[in-house]
Amino acid sequence: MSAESVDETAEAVSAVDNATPSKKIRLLPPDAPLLSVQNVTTSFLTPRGVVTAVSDVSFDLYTNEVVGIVGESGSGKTVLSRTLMGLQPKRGVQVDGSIQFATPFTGTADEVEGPMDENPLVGFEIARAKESELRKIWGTDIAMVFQDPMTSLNPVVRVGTQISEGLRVRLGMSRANAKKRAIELLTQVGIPSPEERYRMFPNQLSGGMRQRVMIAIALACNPRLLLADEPTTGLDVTIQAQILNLLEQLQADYKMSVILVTHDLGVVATRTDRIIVMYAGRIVEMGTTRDVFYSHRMPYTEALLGSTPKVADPSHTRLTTIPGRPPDILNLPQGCSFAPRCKYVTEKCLSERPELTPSEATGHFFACWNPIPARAVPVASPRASANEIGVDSDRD
Amino acid sequence: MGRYLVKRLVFLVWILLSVMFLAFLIIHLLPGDPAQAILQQGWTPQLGAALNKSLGLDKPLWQQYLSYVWNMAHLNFGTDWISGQPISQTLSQCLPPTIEMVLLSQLLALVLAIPLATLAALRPSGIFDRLANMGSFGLLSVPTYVVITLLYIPISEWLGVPNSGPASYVPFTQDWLANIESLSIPIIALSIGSFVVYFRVFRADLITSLQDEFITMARSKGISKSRILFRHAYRPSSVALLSAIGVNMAGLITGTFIAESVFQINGVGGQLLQATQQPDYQLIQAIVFVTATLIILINFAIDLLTGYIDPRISRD
Amino acid sequence: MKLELTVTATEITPAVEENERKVLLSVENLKVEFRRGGHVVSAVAGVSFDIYEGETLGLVGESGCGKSTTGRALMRIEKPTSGSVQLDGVEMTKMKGRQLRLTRRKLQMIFQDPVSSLNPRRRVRDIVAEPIDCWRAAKGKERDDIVFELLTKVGIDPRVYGNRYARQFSGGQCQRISIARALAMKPKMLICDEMVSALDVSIQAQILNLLEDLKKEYGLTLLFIAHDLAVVKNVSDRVAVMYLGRFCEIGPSDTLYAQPAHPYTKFLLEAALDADPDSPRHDEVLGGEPPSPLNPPSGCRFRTRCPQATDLCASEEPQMQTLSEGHQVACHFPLIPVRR
Ligand SMILES: Nc1ncnc2c1ncn2[C@@H]1O[C@H](COP(=O)(O)OP(=O)(O)OP(=O)(O)O)[C@@H](O)[C@H]1O
Ligand SMILES: Nc1ncnc2c1ncn2[C@@H]1O[C@H](COP(=O)(O)OP(=O)(O)OP(=O)(O)O)[C@@H](O)[C@H]1O
Ligand code: SF4
Ligand code: SF4
Ligand SMILES: [Mg+2]
Ligand SMILES: [Mg+2]
Repeated sequence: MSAESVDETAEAVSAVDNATPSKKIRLLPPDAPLLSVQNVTTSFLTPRGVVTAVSDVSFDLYTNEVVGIVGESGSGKTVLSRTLMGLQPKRGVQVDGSIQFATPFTGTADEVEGPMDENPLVGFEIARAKESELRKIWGTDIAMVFQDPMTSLNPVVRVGTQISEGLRVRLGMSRANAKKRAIELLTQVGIPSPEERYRMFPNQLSGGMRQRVMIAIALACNPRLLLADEPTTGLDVTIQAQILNLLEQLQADYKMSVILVTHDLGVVATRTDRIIVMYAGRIVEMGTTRDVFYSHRMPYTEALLGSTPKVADPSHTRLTTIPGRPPDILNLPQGCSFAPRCKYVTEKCLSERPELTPSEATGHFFACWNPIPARAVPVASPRASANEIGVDSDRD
Repeated sequence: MGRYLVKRLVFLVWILLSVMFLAFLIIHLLPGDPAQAILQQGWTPQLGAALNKSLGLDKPLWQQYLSYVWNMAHLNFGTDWISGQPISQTLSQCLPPTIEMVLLSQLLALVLAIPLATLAALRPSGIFDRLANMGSFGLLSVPTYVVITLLYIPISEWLGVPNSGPASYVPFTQDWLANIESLSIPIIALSIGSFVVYFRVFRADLITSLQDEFITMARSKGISKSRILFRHAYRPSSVALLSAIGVNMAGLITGTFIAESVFQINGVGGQLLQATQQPDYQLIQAIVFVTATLIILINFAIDLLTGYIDPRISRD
Repeated sequence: MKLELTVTATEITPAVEENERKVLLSVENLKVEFRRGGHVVSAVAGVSFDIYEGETLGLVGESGCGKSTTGRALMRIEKPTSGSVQLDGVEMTKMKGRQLRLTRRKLQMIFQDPVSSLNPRRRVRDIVAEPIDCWRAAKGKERDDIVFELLTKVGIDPRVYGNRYARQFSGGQCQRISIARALAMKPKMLICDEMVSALDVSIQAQILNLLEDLKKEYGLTLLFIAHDLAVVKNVSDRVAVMYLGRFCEIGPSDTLYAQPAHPYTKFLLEAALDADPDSPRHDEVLGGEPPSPLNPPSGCRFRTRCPQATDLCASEEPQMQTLSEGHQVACHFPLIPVRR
């Protein structure tokens, strides 16, 4: 980001935040989360009525952290990730709450309220920013890998142009340099003969290659936060493994934070630090990956795990099923959204909605009136613990 | 791309031959005897038969068709039976005004349609979009000849152009300004119908394209609105527009014929009408060949452009 | 009238009774080729296998390896280029017309896209009754009773939903209706092509359990095609692994998953992700993508991606060899020793 654009960003924020006559900018504490999401609600105004696809979502994301968002189809994963990115159109969509993204402050000390930090950070309010302001952080600070590489790549623009476009427009690279960097990126994401592919159109590439191109586009301008919406859905297992390994390696190389959105619990099990479970537009459980897998408190998480077949289980293992199907978000039940399918349902569940409550382990939250008792979480194998960064659990 | 173009070319040549064949059939089924038209009062059965023989009209039809194709392929148009003038000369007089009217009216239609459609598509069902949509729908439901007749006097007065008569057409090479002035009214009249079609087609496609996922992806790169429009939305939206231009060509020919007769311009339409009344087989066939070839060439150019704009089409 | 939907005792062969298992479907060197712009795509390039009565054979492999084409060739939706398919000892590949249609009744196929495989403008009852009406197998009350029972069996209440239109149902419900329709003519065998791939996990589990129950109840034989390794293992007695139109390995599910003998099977299993944070991670993943079926490699088709390929693999096509009871592999250098 250029110094000038940060100034404008800071002004935009201060204009929103500072009701006081002082025009000074408030800095974020140095240990502030990279992304702080508070009570975010996204509603679509449709002819059928107001569709609230995401309700009251709050969480923090720290630098270098990988967070998985899981949930079944229609639970609001895509809507949430687009809202976090600020990509929801202004017309017909209502976004409430606050999404604060920490951006480096490059101004001078006398613009600042209080003392200046060593690496000063200011909050950029994504939820209320205009598109012209958002454009300054898109690509360079926060980038997205879209769910379907077939429809998300422009079919009539060469792959190379789609990658180098960001480099040229956002980073001001020359045509030759941008091309060089784009070919470098293609090599990095594991595309063979990148010079040739650079000139190709998306429909000349396989699904796996297209997804790699999407990742190359997202990484082009070194973002600090990558939102990956089902980056491997629809790909073969071997290609999926390639792409997930690639993402993991790039995350470490670029010191990025990653939000990995998926419906597949297998994808998040070994590749995330924390997991957010969504049901009918709300967070129903959130905690470190190990806490969620081994000591989940919310019946839906339990049911989801129980109905996922495992390669390690013997053949013909009976799956535990959840009766019924996810609710229609236009007619949500009054109390707990999961009540019609829950085997632990009680009277209270039908009338009152459970809020997110902290569990014993730090950073572990669940929304349920009759939670499953907490269990001991097995100690991580050395391999898995090497991955564990970010929010510390009290059992470490 | 190469294979696609060869395929298109073969297809278009096939169309050309079919059009020529149909025209040939219709002409020969038309009532009227060319010998009678040529000899007029001096016609006797013997003389007529002799003339038909010398013109090659006594040969079997398929031979006549083959020699027609053969002559046309060599651009050997022959001489006019009635006036004795070489047909190439007649064509060189009547083609330029017609071609000019077609090309300029299309240019005008596109120059107006593309920006207006863009404005409308940027805010679908906004005020401008609704007005433009209603206006274009109104224009669409009025036939071209009605528009021409209605616009004749007001436009000529508005432009300060003298009401065109047969003498007022000035060749382009002589004085280009006067030339355009002399054709301005028919060009405006002709462009209206095309404009409506192009506006509607491009607007609809642009609206769909702008909702595509790849536009959201382009936005997420942080590139400007205009770049998204010109680099990412225009190309996929212009395929239908291009094919609309191709289809429009044939209809435009009839439109020009009407315009020519209203504004008394000595163009292809007038010549064709005269030739049919005579009937002058040679001239009719030459005109059919030349117009069909032009339309097909334009369509080929459009195919080329489409293949360039959308690589999915030109590749199997 | 008493409904006879349950198969009589003689027809049921309880799942796996070693040695005395009856072969229901026998496939010998099946080939399917497509012509595409002057080229020949050999989608299925010579596969042989038996399916025993009452068992479930799973078929896995990467996209485009020919799984669906194999299933479609068995149904004769696609005409096999060569090879033989015997159902109950009767050769199917040469059949025509009425005889083919009659035989085909014993096989039914269920497809991936549950919504588009049902006519949205027909009522659920009539969709399920389609095959019955087509074959004039039953009329009036008898027909309605069959439909009623089938819908109840797949968990769709016929009194509530019977008169609704297919478009009013979710993916999982449509798949239940597809199953009911497939069972209407009392088939011996179901070919399920990616039937749960489009469904959510919670719905997928419901359908998989339902399939297991129906299989027991009706004594069905299943060919279960899917790309999800965990799902295939869960439902199958035996599993076949396919690569570029050929079988690499076939064997009892638990054995094959525990001890893969073909390098490709091993890579495939290692790439599968279990919903378990402590599941082993393998850093060595299979690189590249399968070559085009237009121009398959010589010898072993996997050799372009196989880390242990040798000159022999390029020159000679490996034949199926037996490792243990029912476990066969097509590789020159299998990962577990061949039984002599
Ligand atoms: N533009 C929109 N207008 C109205 N409703 C919408 C819109 N976009 C999404 N929704 C609704 O919001 C809900 C959540 O959708 P979303 O795409 O976020 O689900 P998801 O969790 O990403 O599911 P999937 O796994 O299928 O991708 C759905 O019920 C969907 O119908
Ligand atoms: N009708 C057809 N015409 C030409 N080629 C075909 C046809 N059907 C299939 N193929 C080709 O045959 C090969 C095998 O296709 P098939 O659909 O059987 O694969 P699959 O294993 O079912 O893949 P997926 O997991 O993607 O469903 C592919 O390369 C495909 O392109
Ligand atoms: S609140 Fe009640 S219905 Fe909801 S998950 Fe908990 S026990 Fe089940
Ligand atoms: S035959 Fe050779 S190339 Fe093929 S799988 Fe075995 S070792 Fe690899
Ligand atoms: Mg989604
Ligand atoms: Mg398939």
